Amino acid sequence: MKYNWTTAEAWGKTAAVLLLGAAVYVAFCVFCVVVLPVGTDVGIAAGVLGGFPVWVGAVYYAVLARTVARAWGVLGGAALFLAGSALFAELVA
Amino acid sequence: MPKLSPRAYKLSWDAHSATGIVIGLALFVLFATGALLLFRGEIRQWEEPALRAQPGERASLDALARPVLDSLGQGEAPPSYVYLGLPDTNHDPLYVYAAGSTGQHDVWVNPATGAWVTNPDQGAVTQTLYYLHFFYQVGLWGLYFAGLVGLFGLLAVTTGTAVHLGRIVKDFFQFRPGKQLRVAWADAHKVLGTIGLPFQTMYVFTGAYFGLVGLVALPYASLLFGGSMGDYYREAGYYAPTVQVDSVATAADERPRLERLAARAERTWPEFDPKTMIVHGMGTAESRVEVVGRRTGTVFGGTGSIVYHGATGEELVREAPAEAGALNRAVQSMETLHFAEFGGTALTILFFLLGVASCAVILTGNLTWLEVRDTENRFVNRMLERLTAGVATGFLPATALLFLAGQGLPASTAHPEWWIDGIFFGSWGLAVCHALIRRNVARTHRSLLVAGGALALLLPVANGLVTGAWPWATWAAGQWAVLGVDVGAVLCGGAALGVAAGLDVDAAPPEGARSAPAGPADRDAPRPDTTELKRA
Repeated sequence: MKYNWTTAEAWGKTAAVLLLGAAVYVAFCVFCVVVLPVGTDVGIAAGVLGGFPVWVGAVYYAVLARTVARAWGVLGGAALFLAGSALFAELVA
Repeated sequence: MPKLSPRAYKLSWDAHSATGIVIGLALFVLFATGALLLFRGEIRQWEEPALRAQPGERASLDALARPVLDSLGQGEAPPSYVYLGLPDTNHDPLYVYAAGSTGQHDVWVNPATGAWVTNPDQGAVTQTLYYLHFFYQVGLWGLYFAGLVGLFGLLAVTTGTAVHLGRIVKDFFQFRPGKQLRVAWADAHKVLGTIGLPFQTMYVFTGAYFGLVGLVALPYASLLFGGSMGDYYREAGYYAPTVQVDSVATAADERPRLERLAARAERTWPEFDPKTMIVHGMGTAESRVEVVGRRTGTVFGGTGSIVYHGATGEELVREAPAEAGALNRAVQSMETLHFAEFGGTALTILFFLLGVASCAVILTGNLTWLEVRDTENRFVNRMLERLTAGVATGFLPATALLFLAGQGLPASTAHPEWWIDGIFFGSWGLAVCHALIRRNVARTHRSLLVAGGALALLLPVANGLVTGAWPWATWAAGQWAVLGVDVGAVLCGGAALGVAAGLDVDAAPPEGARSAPAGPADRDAPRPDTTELKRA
């Protein structure tokens, strides 16, 4: 390894990659079909096609984040924001 | 080109190498089997003489399908669900899947003779490779695992590109086989990776989708389709829209005229090419026939469909390819790209070569990582090095044996697929064991390459001896698929033997390099001879 990983950093970021990467992905898929002002098929296509790059971006961010806490905070916040927006739109609708 | 900060560079490099080491061998299997499966139609004809091209016109769909359906339904109760994969050319076999009260069956039918073979009892070589392509030997979890490998492959491609972004042009023109081994591997990794970047990106992306679609579609199915995955696939363009069918008592026992309906569908829109036909409730008053197809020659586009009343032939609903929704267009475009259903044979060959190059990218990345850590002399590194040899190079002789077994098993053998799977996975397992216990990895590579190359050269001989289809006979008969597999086997075998001959297994290592491997088999062994896996 080129970077000097501490044990806590390695495990914390790995967990963020596995858990929050998936959470952001699912939240993004739901966000696309519920919140975006487009047709159902466009929303699904956006979720399907855009979901994987979003997952990669989330995972990459978790790796690059300055601290484990920041990785969890930003990705957790992003997942909550996407899921919350979808829930809000669903309830308002 | 923008450059990463030193910290971001180190982290990206670690993410790239860790991902590559964890998924590398699985991704290698996906690319290797995928490259072979680009020619799955040809391989199927090679292993099944009954499916080989014969002179004469293609028989009608009804003439081809009726004996199969009669046989499966014992001539009395037709299968309630029939799926037909229509031949692309006059020489391609017709695929028939039928399900009903007598169970489910799928067969391939020769378009000229009407001879058919069941799947997978026969045609087991293609089936074994096909299942291995998404690890379906272990069921749906294997499929999901393949999808995850694709997803992490996307991460590896992204991080690898980010790491090399600052000097991607310079690295592309830099290959130094005469330098240290790790430099040569790294150069090869970067050059081949850059050449194949769009190809690899497309395949890991589409592979991730096709592997994970069963999970990806779950939120959509529950949110939008009342939990029905079938409706998701309908939206994705695999099936025609649902339609209510009124019963017609006067024509209750009439089977739909498949050829006539396919021809009508073909005339519905300009350049419309029917790909599949699905018959629901065949022989009943509520029967309906879906014809799904796409515009000829298009890569990016969705499917169109027409639904006919099965008994009367009345058109019930149609949806033009030009009106396909965004999901339909996206998914069907990915299908076309992933299965190389465009561009003809030249593009398929190009994809095959890029697939082989992608295997080389994975292996050179793996070997670079190992070479960099060569002085650490860790047990896990030594084992990984040997495992790489066993899994990757061992795949060659195992695959050659798979093909030979497909030709060599007597026709009377019960459950030939069990034997074929046993021979394939057994020989592959032996290759891995051989690699794990042998301390000289370079010699392992060479012995496996020689075995695989020699066995591959035997494929045309086995084909000629067993089926009489020697290359000159298949040339004369115009059986290009069979000839192509024979020629491909000879080329692959020759290439493997050439690489084996070029390996310098007795070269002196660079100064200060490798010390004794520390595997359990080596603890009582003398220090290893000074061997390196080197290009000559």
